[in-house]
Amino acid sequence: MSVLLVSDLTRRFDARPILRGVSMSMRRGERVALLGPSGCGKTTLLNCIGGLDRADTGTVLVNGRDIGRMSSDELAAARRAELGSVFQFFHLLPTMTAFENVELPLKLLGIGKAERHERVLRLLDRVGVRHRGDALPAQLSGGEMQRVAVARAVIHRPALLLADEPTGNLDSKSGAQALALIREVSEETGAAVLLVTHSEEAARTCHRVLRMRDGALLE
Amino acid sequence: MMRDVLIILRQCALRHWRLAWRQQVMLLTILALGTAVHVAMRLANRSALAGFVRFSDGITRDSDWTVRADAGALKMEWLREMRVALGSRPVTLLPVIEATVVPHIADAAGSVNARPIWRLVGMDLIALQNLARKPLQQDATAAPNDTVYVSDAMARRQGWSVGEKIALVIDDRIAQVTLGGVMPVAPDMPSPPDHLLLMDLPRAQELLRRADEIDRVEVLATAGAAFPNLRADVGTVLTTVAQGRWRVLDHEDRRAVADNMTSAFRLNLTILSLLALLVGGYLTFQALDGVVIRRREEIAILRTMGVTERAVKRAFLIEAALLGVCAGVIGVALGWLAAQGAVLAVARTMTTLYGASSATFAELHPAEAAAGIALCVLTSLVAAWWPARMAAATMPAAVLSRHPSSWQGGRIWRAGWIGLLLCVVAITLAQFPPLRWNGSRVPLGAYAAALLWLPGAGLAAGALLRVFRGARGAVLSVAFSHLRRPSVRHRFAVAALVSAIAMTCGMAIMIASFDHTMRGWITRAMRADIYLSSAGAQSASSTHVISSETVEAIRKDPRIAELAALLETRVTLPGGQVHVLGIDNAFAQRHELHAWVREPPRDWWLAGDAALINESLGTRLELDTGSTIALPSPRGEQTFRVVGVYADYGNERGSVAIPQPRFRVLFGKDDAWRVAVMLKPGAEAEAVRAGIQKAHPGLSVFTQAHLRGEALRIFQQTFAVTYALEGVGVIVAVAGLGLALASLMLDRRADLMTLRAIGFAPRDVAATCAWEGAGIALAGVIAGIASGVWLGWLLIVKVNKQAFGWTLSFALPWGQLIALGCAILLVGAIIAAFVGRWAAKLPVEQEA
Repeated sequence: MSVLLVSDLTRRFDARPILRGVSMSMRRGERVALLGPSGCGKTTLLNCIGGLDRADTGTVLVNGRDIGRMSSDELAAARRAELGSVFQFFHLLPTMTAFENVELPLKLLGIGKAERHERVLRLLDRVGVRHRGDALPAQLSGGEMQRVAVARAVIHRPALLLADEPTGNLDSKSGAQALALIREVSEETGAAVLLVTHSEEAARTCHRVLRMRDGALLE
Repeated sequence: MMRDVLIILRQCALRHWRLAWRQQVMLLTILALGTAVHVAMRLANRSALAGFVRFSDGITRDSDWTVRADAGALKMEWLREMRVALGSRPVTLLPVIEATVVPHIADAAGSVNARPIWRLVGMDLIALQNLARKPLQQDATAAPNDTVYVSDAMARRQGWSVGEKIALVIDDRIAQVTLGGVMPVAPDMPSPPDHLLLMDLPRAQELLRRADEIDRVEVLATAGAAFPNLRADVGTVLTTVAQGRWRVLDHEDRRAVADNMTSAFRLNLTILSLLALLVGGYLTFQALDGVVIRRREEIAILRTMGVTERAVKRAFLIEAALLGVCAGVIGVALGWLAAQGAVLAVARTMTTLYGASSATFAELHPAEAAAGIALCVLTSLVAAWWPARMAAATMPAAVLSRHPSSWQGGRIWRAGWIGLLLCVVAITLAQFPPLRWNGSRVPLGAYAAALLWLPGAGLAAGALLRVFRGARGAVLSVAFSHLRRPSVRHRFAVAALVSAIAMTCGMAIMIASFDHTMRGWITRAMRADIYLSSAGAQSASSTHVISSETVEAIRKDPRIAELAALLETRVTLPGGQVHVLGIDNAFAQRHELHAWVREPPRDWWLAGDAALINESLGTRLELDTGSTIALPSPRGEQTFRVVGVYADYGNERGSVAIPQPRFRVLFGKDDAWRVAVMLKPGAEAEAVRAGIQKAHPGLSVFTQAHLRGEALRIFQQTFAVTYALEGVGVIVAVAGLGLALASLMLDRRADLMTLRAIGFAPRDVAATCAWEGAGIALAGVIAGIASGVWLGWLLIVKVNKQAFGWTLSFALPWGQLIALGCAILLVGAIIAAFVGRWAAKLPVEQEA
């Protein structure tokens, strides 16, 4: 069964069409790169898949469940359990430490303190920032912030990881490390990864590349 | 630079005003209301004061000099002496006698302050006719003996026509007068006060039973070539022949007396009106802060185009100034409208306190309108200063890169030591002695301490937010993480709450302490079974008395065991008038009526020169046991030795008590100001009261229980306005909390999106905000109540003692404080939840 199935998705802002009948699917563990110029609708597609935005027409099925038909509470529950997000600018909560940021999705799932601590420490160790657990985001480097963001996105073992330009704000070395990390955790957890990027090099780390222009997929 | 500023104003500000017009209307309303309250208070205040001053100017043009006795009344023979001393100088001496009177209302005997207060003025109507530009409508000299004249407005309001019979309470009698006509109004003269009854002098003296006495002489000099320095010359002559019997006051002296008498009252009103503006300023600050956050992206774009920080800051300040001008104009207009209602209330209060104010209409002078607008602009600019600075400091890269860029604020504002420093300075200032000014004591150090303490405690209280840690759930974790590392907005929100709660608690403590002290004092001082006074004694300035014949008639009632009369007169000492009381010391000692601050020896009254003073006089004139005090009297100045000090919460002007025999000798008065009656066992107080009331309808007769109830009712009525202010303070603080949270949420839009991406449902986002708001409210409540206790102590131990000379016992109304804290927590959390629900619906930022 597909982890993600998008059918004939359209979205307009005012009169301007942003998405024009986008359809795509992803299997478990698959990594798909979404390439395209600025303004082509990549982030809007990602927001519709992640339930942060509603499509005008079409369906988005995550693990067989229609995101578009869910109530806001059901959407929130789906995001907690099945989706993970990584952003270009990390979006770590600035008043929480690295440890607390990573721990937060587990708290949302109601997992006990001992298990939370054990899993967070293990994952921080895995992504190489365990020693920075008590640091606030402002005290971390860009590379460290993205590692923490990736850890937060996968700590709850989501079926689908949505990564929006995860290397866009990093130097090439840190960017490469971040991509490697995403690939590794995807392989370890079996999460499908939808990677929005401008970079052909980043796209090469994925199993498949989708190209987008003017709100439509060119594949 | 100016071109850049204009571009910002046109492209950003005006467009926002148009698109977000509701927000602009709210901002305008907030500022305009603050200004309106200030202007209304000020106009009503000035108008009532003008009415008060106009009282002495209302009949003739301003006189050049006014002659008054230092103690008691002037004698008619002294008037003749003045005339002789002035020789052939072209001077008119206009003798005046005056008294407050009230209409006789048969069913109004049971409550104090239930009747309108009028002033009966007796003048030489023939001299007045000669001076006036318009004669009275009737030949005053041919009028019957009981004729009075009133203003047209008063006649119309009361529905009187010429020939109307008017029943007045004068001392313990009911007298009837007849309306002879209305007083004329000349275009270049002030209109006559509309609670004035004018009567011919000899007839007024007869009616008031004060033959051969006058209260003042108005002196009008007619300048001419023969006497080039006539005015000064007249003043010198009258002062020279006075020999301590009277004092000669010029126009400025009279205004100064009025000004001095009402200065405390006006100071309170001014402080209240400034408080309203402060409240408006605080809400404007919160609202403008939100505006800056909304426009941050535009500002960043302009900055990338080369617009300087200074231009951005200047544009925001100009926008704030424009906002201030618009709001100021609306506020002045609203204030003027509100003043028309307020002036009646203020005038009524001044009439009750000081016996005279005739204001009914508040005029708006251009200078006052300009001052109101200027104050509004200033408030708007002060409120906009920090948001404008923030706008100018916007880093384009931070905003345009869509970094999570919630702003923590400058280090200096986050430093708790500034708050602690202000508190330490406040504690030091509280130790300063009062400033002596114009015979009054102004607790300037204590006021400054209160003003510094509020922001100090507020800023220091931000540290309390750091204790929020260790939450289990995700919602609480996020909420507490913001509290644990509070931004400047968090701190300002806490500071505002602390200020409002502290002020409210301070007031509550002061009122509770007053209440506690007053009840104790009333229980001690009001021990007699029945109290009598003239029904005309409706204001603090009333001079109505009960004649010794009436007192003796009442004494004959077989149900009465004891009866004590209190004699009273007023003398002028530095800082204002003081009551001199002739007391029945044996009665007072037997029933322990005095609450002693310094207890005298039991036989003090045997010494001829011994006197007791009340605490407020002792504080005002720095007198204590062993000091001497010189009292002017018709027999010349008499020096007394202070042997005791008593508490007296019914009189802030000050009083001196001397034994009755000495009083009668010095002041020649035997009529009673107040009478206390002790009944024989088994006598029914209510029945005796009803009997006395029936026999003497001109008296107010109260049983002990009724008078105690009335005293407490008046006390609570006096403080009713402070309860309203408490409510306003709390509402503003909670509204400020809502606005601060809205700004925080707007600032944190990127974080909100992250929370939703992680899996926070909208209600979780709302709950996060609610907990954050509740945390701020809790910190505000804890620090606010603690600060309020200190503020209450400051008000009671320092301000009251220094300003009024009253020692109050300290009472903490715990139940009230806890209820206040719980209410603020609850309302704060509810408002925060509403803001959270709104924030949860904010659209996700689009990154195409």
